[in-house]
Amino acid sequence: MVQKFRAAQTTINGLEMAFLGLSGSAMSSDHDLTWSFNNDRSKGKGGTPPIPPVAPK
Amino acid sequence: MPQKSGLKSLHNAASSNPIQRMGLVLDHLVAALGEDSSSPLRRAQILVDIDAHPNTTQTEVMDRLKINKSTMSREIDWLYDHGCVIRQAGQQDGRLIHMTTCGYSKKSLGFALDYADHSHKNLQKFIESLITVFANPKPTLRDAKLLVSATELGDASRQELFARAYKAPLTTNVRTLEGLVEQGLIETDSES
Repeated sequence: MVQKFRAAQTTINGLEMAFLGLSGSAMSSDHDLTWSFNNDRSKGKGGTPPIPPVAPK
Repeated sequence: MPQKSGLKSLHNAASSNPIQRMGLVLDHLVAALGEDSSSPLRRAQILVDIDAHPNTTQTEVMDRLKINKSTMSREIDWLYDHGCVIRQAGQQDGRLIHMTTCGYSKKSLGFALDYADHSHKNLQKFIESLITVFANPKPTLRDAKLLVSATELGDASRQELFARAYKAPLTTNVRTLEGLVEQGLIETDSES
């Protein structure tokens, strides 16, 4: 079996912070940043934006 | 030169993925440091600070970055020896040495700044944030690149990771990867 490696969640969080610094974005606690990273690892590539929740009718 | 800036813009647009952008910034920082990927991120920070403040002095850089004198002297010597900065004695006070980035370093930093909205402050924030990710007090650009590659690839074999890493002897890459696993920054399924 081939040994597999993956970034820990703390790493992904840290890199998100680093990217915010690079782009000069303001921090926002209610903004979900994880979509821009590979949180969708099953596809093996950069993630896609989350589907927004549907408002109750 | 409109042609050059056009190419740069195309390059920027082609790499719209945040992780890829970070990887490219690291590549430009490595180029700015004479292709020495074993350079500490702190060294890159010092170089960026000097680039942001042409004709600055060692004391001024120390004050801005809160780096101790012995580390600073060592890093400034390295940058000078590798042609990243020039040093000139002050006209008013010859004891004061002024530093400015030059040559390939200045050019490569310019490319890195393309991804930081041409802001030295943004580039510094990027490096500072990267440093805080590590438990190791002296992370290198090689460490950072491996983390970015692992994040981009998702589940990846050692071979796939090393293909994205900076060129180095296999033992160096293995040691770097093991260090990142020990710090809990990269996870592995080796137990199964």
